[in-house]
Amino acid sequence: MMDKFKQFILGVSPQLSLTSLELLRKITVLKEYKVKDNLYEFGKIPTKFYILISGITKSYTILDNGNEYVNRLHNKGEVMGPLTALIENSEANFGIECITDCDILECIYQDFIHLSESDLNFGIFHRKYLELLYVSYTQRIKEFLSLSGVERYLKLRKRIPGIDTLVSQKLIASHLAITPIQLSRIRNKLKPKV
Amino acid sequence: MKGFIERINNTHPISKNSWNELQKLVEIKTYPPKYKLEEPGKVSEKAYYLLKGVMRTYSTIIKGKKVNNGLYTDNRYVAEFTSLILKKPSVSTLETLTTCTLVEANYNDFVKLTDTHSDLNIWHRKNLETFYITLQKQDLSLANFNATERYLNLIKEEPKIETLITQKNIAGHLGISQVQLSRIKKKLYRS
Repeated sequence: MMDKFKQFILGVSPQLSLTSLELLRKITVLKEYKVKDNLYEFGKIPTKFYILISGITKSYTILDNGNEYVNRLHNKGEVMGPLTALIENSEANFGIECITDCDILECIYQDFIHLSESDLNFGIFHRKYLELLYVSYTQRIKEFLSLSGVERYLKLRKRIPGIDTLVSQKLIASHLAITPIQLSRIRNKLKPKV
Repeated sequence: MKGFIERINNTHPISKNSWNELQKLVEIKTYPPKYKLEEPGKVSEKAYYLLKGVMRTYSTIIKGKKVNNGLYTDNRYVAEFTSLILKKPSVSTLETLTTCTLVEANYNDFVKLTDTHSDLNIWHRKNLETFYITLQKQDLSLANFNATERYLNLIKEEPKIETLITQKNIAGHLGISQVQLSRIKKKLYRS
């Protein structure tokens, strides 16, 4: 299990020393969550961020029209958390819910900020992580604007193989910003013709 | 340069030594309107801080669809960050719309400097955090508002936008077709 932690960290910043890695390990705690568990309370000021070791979670919010919007389905190895709220010390406007049972590493955000600001190695790791996050978020917005529902669905299936058996169709539709009926039509079209 | 210094101090004050080092990397330049600073297919090298003027980025991505990703006015960081970070060819054009005065620096040199100076590292990290928050707001706005609402938000944020860029680009920015935009405007002006 810890190897995945190491793998993730070194994937972002290969030159992080083992000493630094140990320091980071000291401020993280591994917890088991059950399906439907929420990692923190929606609408409250959050204190932690998370690394998903196994399982799948959704990051979601409720739109003005009352609909749920799933802005991300997280797969193992990803960092999760209400980053905007953590940075601004404001109320979380996104929640994270486990869609399957999950093993998750938790870390108090301020502990990490302390490390990042007192140890340049972590500062560099943090900088690199935020850069990658920027790149992937920009990509998602571009896809949102330029790809069709079918294309977004195929990309999701590629990123999380077996997604259709892991989470509900309603959830997938919400993540792709299409209706469940549209998704069902897309799936029918994609089925190999007999 | 005053706007840039103020911006740094508001984000995370840096030491005199760090400022001296940073100054060695940056240059102030003025460009005419319609000047392309970055173009698709080229690996971007520079990051900019827009002191004065209006700029935009747009991209032709996937199946010829044009997407306008950004409009920038005074005191904004501007760059093809994805290209800078991944060192891959940019998919976007970064262009001045008016005469623009910019602070510019080679991003690699800049990052090397931030990786060796703790105060610059913290300052840069805080900038990246702000960029992330902007993206999140954009994402939420795409999901939360329909095209008409997004159009009205844009007009509210950038009242002169209709005179600055073409309808095609406004439609691209909103993620809709030109025909859809034209219908939205007809409806709005009728009522």
